[in-house]
Amino acid sequence: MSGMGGAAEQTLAGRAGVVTGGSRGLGRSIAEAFVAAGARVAVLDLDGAEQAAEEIGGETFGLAGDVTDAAAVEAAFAQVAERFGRFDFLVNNAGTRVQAPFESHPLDVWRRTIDVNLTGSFICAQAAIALMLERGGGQIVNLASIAGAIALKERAAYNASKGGVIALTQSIAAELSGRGIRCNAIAPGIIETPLSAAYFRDERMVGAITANTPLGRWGQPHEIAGPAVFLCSPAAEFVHGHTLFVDGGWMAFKGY
Amino acid sequence: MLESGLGGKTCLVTGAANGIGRATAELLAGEGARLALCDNAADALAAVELPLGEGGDGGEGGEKPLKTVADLSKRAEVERVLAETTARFGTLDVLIHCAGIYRVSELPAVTDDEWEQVIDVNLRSSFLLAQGAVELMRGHGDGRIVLFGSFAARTGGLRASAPYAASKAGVEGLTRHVAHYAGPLGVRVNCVHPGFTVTPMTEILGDQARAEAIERSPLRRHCGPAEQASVAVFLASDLAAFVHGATLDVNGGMYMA
Repeated sequence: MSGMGGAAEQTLAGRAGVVTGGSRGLGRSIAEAFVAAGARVAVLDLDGAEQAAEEIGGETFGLAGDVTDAAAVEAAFAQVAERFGRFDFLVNNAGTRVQAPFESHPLDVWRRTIDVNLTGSFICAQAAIALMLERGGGQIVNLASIAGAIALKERAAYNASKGGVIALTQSIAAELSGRGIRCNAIAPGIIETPLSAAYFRDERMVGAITANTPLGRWGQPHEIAGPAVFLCSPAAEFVHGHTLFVDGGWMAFKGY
Repeated sequence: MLESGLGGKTCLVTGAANGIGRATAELLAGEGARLALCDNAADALAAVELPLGEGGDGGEGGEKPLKTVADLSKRAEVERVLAETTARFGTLDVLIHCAGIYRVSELPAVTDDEWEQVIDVNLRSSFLLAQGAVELMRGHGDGRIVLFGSFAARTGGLRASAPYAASKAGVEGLTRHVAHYAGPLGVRVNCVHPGFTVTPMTEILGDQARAEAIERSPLRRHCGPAEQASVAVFLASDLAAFVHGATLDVNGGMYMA
């Protein structure tokens, strides 16, 4: 769309970067959309990255890696910059979610969730920004969640990690603005992905989701991918430090 | 996957004679939309020429945009604009309501008249247009509405007057209300909160105020109307199919939310 600075396919033409957790679900859909918009994408994931890259096509390549391992991320991102000759965008999508009642929430699960969702985003952003600044800038999109703004029950660690991602987004935006870095977050509502597959088999859950979403349905991964492309595109040149809720109206209904 | 889906859609853009509204109309013309353009300034609206080309001039069939002059704070005028739009194009798919007025009076100086005028032009018009548009869009069940709030809704107005800040905060609440009602009818509605944008509307600010706004801006610059228009067009497009009841802040990081 020309609102995004040219034909849709050309919105991100010439750009290159990384989508973490890009083998499946939201990350996969985001990687596909970035390629469709003309970008070259490296998919980083614990497993399945190479196969996903092959299926996505184009110049996509896969990197096996753990976002919580700073040295591994730094090495992987250096490889991306070398292979593509640039590093323009990072989509911090890798994440985990575990349901546990607060009173018996296992500490190791808490630590692991914060580690992957929040610390992983920090590690990747830090590594990416170093490479972006070498070339004068870039765009970062962090995947937060409605859970970062309103508590979902029995997901204390997840909620806290995603609230942290929103604060991290604003921190990066505040500190690196004026140096060519734009940083924003997307806060999805309920999206049908492998991570949330269990919801859609539970009739009670399906009823609750549709009743709490003014659009009357849950979202599909490509409906997060479109906003991710937008936020990295010239169309969002003045959008900075913002958390874009993509939730079918959930937040408007359930309140902040 | 990345198609805007706006080609051939009937889009009503208000405040289309200049600033963000005009920039929005230009982008929509590029998408091949059919355009109804509304403004209260007859001469300026008549002077709007959209870029010709593929899908340009407001429609796939080279349709000229409908231009209509109106005071959108009046119910009868809003009803007329909507009726003219559907009479010409048979439907209404998209409403992007950019028309508004800006005032900088300090609190003690705000008169009843100013309060009423600003609330009427900014907030009542949003209500009247959204109310009317939903009725037209529920028939086909694929409507998109974008309303304009402001950075002032977040800050209370650094320069902007009390009625301006209140009217724009009102637009945000209105957006959520319409989202509850119209979501199930297949009508998406969202709100843009622009930061300081260089348009005729903000010329009321002096050079010093503009310089201070740049100074305070994390991106160290002002925003042009096209950078607001591209966000509004995104929200109206298929790319934002699951964005509903949301507020999108476009202020370069001046106020992060």
